[in-house]
Amino acid sequence: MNSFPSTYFLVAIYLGQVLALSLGTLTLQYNQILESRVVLFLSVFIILNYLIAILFFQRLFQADYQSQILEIREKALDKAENMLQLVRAQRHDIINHLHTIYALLQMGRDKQARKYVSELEIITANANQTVRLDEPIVAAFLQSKLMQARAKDLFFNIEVLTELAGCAAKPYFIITILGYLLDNAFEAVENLPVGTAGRATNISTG
Amino acid sequence: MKVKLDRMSFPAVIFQSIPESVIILYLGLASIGVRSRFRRVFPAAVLSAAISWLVRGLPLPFGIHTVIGVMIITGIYCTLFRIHLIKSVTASLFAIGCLISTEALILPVVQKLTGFTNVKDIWAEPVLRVVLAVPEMVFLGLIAYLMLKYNISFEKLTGENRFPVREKAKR
Repeated sequence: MNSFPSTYFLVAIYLGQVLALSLGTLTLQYNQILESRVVLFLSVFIILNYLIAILFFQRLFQADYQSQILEIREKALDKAENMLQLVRAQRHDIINHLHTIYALLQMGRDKQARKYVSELEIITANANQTVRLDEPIVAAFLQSKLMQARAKDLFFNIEVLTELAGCAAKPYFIITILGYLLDNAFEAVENLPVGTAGRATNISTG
Repeated sequence: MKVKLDRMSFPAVIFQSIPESVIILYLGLASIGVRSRFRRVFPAAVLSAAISWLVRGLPLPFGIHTVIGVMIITGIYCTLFRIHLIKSVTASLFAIGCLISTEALILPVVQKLTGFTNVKDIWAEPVLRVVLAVPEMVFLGLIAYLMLKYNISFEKLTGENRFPVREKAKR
């Protein structure tokens, strides 16, 4: 999470003004223009200003932080929506595959049906890895990336070494990190010629 | 404008300027929520005190030294502590501002106690100058200590915001 330079700029302007006021007070005191009583009053006023600055700017930083969190959550929500669409598409796919297998069996083409099922098994084997994850949002995200890789004709291997059960980090933070990593990895390999060993991305949870 | 040079004696540099710089550096760092070890702060404080001593020797009007002091501390935060410029400016403004206002707060009390009506007379006495800086340093040191202990800073993040983690799953 990056810090907030614009807010710090405001803090610096405010503190600059308070410093100018305190410097003015000290100068007047140094040149014996102000009475001690007035200087004391002004000093207390300035110190109170510092306290107010800390309390006020803390709130401002909190608000900035909340808006950043909100932004991340909105992005996560968008991703979740995409995943929902993906699940619908997958459901559609499964029905189509079942129809194809059923039609092949009805036509008595058992051999072709078996071949079709074995091809399907290879494709779904990698997807099964994500099902093992204890974090459904991360699983759905990896599933969507798997589909994306398939669409781009990339080899994307997922290896689940831990189920992410009891993981302290929130799923939207994991997705943000994974999203950046995988997008960069896909971008790096997608320009390589089709069929080369380099067009592969491996990810493992562990 | 008649400008009087402010030459600090060597004991004043050792017993006043360096400890004051240590406290100021800690105070500024605390204000932006940065914690640092003494072994890292101390050399920076010595450097700050040395530059301040050189600057005080320049024939500059009262107040300009403070502005230069802000620049020196900002430079130290930026270069030695690798803190972002705007954060460094904020920290140094806070620290120097606290120092100036504490000085303004304590001086009238000191004047009352010592009987000196003119601040220039107090600063002209090397021993008095060091002794009278003690309450100021104690006050500022206490503020810095409390800020560091209770994590009081401009960018203080509390509760869930401080470290966005999820509660561990109950087994």
